Amino acid sequence: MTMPPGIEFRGKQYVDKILEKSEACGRRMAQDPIVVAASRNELVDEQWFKLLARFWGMRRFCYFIYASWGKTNIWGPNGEYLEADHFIAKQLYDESRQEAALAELITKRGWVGSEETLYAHPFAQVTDNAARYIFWLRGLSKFSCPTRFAGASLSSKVLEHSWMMEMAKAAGDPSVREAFCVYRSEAHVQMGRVILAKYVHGLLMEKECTWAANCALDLYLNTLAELATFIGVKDVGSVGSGGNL
Amino acid sequence: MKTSGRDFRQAIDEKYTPVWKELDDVYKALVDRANQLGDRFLSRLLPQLWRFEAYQVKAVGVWILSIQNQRDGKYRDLQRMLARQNLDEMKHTRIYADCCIDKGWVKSEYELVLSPYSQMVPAWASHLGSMDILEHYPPPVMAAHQYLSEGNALRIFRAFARGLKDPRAAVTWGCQEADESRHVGIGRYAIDKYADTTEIQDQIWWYIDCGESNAKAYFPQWMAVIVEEDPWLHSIASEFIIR
Repeated sequence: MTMPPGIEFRGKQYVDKILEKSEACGRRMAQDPIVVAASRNELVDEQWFKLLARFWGMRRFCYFIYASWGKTNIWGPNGEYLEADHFIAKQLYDESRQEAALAELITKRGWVGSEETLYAHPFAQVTDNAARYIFWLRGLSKFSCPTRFAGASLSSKVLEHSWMMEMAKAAGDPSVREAFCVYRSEAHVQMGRVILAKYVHGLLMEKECTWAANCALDLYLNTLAELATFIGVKDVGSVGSGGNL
Repeated sequence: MKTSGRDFRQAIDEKYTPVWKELDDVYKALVDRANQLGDRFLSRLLPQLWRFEAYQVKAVGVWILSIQNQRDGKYRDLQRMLARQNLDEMKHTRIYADCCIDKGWVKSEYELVLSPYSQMVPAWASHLGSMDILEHYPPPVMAAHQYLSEGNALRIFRAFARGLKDPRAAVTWGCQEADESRHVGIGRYAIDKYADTTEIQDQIWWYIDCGESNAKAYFPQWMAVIVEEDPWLHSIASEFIIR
């Protein structure tokens, strides 16, 4: 991989450290109440609708999050952060594909009369913890490029990837499985890995990235807990908090 | 009398079809000149286009941000199409960068950031600014930009893809044709569907006028950067405009 002049993979060790924690959290996703209920085939039609509509509602905001990240990503004098533009464009498109796939699935199932009505449907509205997580991602556009990727790609996206893969395994319905698999979350984790390994250096930068990753893990876990309550699954075992890195 | 979006777009076509035909001849002549000048021309043109595409990604991002989150999901189709276009434009920067690297003009994409030939001429920066300004207008005005500006780009790309003798450079434009056609299609679709009020149609005509005026400024500046000492290109640059 080519690098801007004077840049090496200085942050590689730091990336390993941050990923170790996120992946440990990710491994607990198999015990997420929604995953457990889905794998036991306990989710009824309305619960699937609630789950997918709320999840779609969150995806809707990703246009505003990643377009904002792209708009505010400024290159360094030697082209630093140039690749972040590529990554953000890819992420935005992937989010859009999943948003469209979920809307299509919900409409085809007949849960809403038309796609237009989904936008105002109460199940699709993002509130409380989910809103806090979405606003957090948008707010990251005020921070440096490595902090953004630490506060999403290397933390909450690791959880999201694990959760979606578990959901894809648990969902009996192939069209639901497809809607989860269409999203290339593993690639997004790798994007974060590249950005942090290349550009994180120095204690202050590491501290800010660690703070961002900790916040994102907690916000995402709270969002999942809220989602479980919203769709009405029994708490079969909490996945716990993100803890601190 | 109220004109439908489709009728309005046909009025644009009627005005510009003769201009497009004329421009096709200009672009063919430009490609012939590029064939004569070879790498001297291309090594300056491609870094300019690389920079332009990289900044266009940000302009498309601004357009995505400008679409309001409405309760009836209006413009959702456009927002999804723009997400795809955003990725396309990013891909195009890599296509230009790869060509510059393969031809040995730079060692990496990072070098293009500092290349004197990638530095943007002022009027081109104005053109990009005009794209950003569209966030303050209804989405069909942005669609008109897509329809005309991407349509113009498609014509240039086709001319270079088919007429350029350098196969490595020709493929950079050939492989973008499908994407550019799709972007023109986004514009056509959105004008037909959404440009259905007199107010929006007036705003579109205003934007087209501004675009023409800016094109008259940026093509000569751009040509001056590409081949500063070539009098023929200077003369064609003044013709290289949408009238």
